[in-house]
Amino acid sequence: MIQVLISGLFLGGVYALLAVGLSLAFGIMGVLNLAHGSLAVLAAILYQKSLLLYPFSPWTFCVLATPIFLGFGFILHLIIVVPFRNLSLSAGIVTSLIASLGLALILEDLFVWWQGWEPISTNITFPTFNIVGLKIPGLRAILLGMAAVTIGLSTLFLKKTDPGRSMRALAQDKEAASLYGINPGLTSMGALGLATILAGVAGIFYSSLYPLGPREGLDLTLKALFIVVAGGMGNLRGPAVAGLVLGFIESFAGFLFTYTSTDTVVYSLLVGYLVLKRGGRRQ
Amino acid sequence: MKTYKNRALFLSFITILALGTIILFAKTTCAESPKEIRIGATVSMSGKFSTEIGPFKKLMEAYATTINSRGGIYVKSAGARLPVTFIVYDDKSDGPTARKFYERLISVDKADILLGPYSSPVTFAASVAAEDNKVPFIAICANSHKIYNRGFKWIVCVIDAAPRYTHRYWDMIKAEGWAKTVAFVVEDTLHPQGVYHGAKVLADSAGLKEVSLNVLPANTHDFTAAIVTIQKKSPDIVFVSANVPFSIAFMRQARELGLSPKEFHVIHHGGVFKKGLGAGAEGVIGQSYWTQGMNYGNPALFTEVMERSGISLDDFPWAPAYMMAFETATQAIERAGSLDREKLMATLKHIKVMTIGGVVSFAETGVGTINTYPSQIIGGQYHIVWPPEVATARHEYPGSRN
Repeated sequence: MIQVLISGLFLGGVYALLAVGLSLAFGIMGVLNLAHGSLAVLAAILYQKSLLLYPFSPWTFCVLATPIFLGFGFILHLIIVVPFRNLSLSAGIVTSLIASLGLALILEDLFVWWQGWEPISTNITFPTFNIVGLKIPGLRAILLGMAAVTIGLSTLFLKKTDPGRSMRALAQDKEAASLYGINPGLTSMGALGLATILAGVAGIFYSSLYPLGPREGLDLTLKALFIVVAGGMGNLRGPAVAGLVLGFIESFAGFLFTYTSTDTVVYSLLVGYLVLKRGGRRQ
Repeated sequence: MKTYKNRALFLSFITILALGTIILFAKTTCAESPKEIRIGATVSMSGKFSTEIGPFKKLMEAYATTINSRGGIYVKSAGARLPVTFIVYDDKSDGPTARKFYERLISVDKADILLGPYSSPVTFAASVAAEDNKVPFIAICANSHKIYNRGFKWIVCVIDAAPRYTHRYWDMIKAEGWAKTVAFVVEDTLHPQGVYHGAKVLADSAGLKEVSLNVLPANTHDFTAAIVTIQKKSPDIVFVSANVPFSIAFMRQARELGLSPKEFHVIHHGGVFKKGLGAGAEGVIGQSYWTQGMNYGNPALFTEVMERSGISLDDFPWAPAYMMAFETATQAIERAGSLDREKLMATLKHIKVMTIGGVVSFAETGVGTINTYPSQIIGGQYHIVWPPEVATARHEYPGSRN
């Protein structure tokens, strides 16, 4: 039972990391980026290719790839935000959603062309620690810690730094933020850059633990979207907690019922939660 | 005088008629005399099966080049060796698309014989085109009984039915007599389920007791609950009937959580599995159609074809099954002595061909005789471990990693 709990924690950590980036982009810019999961897959492919050159650890590669993903975020901003910035809020959300969906589908085709249909998988091995009869796989434990650190640093960045405060101000009131001298274009570009870095880190961690198909980007986005809806859009803490909870539920559904019932259990609980919360957490 | 004139006229008329008939007959015969042997096929160059056989058009072309460099295939009715041409389309791993291309191969490209696509679902759809048009169809990696229970007359398949996929492994386990218990981990999709149902019966008849069964969805990420359950039962063998991504994820977690039966059997443990798992793949046993060192048929020809195609056997373990289909088609054409479709099909129905994987022949339903051999990853290399007359290494039990 405790072993299952620990495994659920590891799985939930990766889900949490994936969801906070999506939540950040939506909260600050009102952009529902459906290419979020595809960016995670892109990071996984880059990591797998890099391993052919040098045996980077996942965390070392995350640090090295941060500028690259920041750059991808800026490019993404030019594609799914800048062209639609003069539209009304609702029209902007829908248009950017369609644009990002198109981008996700294009990326998936490019991944298959580049990588083939082979699952992206890295064979990094770490020792497993035996603590009071419980097996703690070293790599999963380290990556869980790293995921927590990444989410913590992102939260600190948003709360304690000027660019972070600018992002939060933009999320609260775009016009008022502009009056205070905040450049909405640059700030939202930075926010999408940060969200893309988080997607990249999630993709690298995910593929270090589980095989990832080149066309799994939209599946990851969908999972992250459920977590964000359950945890509350626009904040980091809610999706982080919801991600962990989803990890627990997935692990326990297989333990308490049958594995084939996992999706039924997860989505029943989600729908039930949303119904009880009357449309989810209010912003 | 008049009689002579009439006779001369009559003889001239007869001569012209005879010459005309001869010329017409010769022309018709020339038009029908084949210049080449046209083999039609589709390959999943895109879509979900492209990981498994994506570059196999190159394999077909390499076979044609190799055979043609030796003069081609002898066709008695043509009185000559004829070159082989493969006409290949991308079926996008999709049944309806495959069927459309097989219709085209028959009606437009005038294929003499057809080789099947990859997988049971795609073959199920594609073979209808061959049956409707009465064209010989040699299925390859498609062993679902649903394909062969339709009463089709124009289909044969080089490989054996899915439930018998692992029969040699269980023969070995029975002969060795060491293992007593088995735990099954099954991916909840068509082929792994089919293999599991067969393996369960075979394990039972080999005297093993099933101590645990976990059927899991293909997208399962966390296997902890299943692994903990299996650990409690301490089985001798953990038998994983699953596709490659599932198998990698399960095995990685099983190694991490210290699940250590005497043997892991993973039905698809090809190159992608080995690369994905690294050192964790050592000692794992699975199923292979052929490995280096097996001496049935003409392995040198297969090696030459593989080298020419640039395809790695580790990455594409189905290549030998395709080679066996090429060998079967070649022998059927030679023995029929004709490209007449009915003669070809009649020959196929009763043929016995020694291929690189053993003897191919067909049951009345069309199901073939080729089956996989248990192969173990030893020192990073695949080795057939049973039966003794084919084995390239001794079965390590327990495996070095267990």
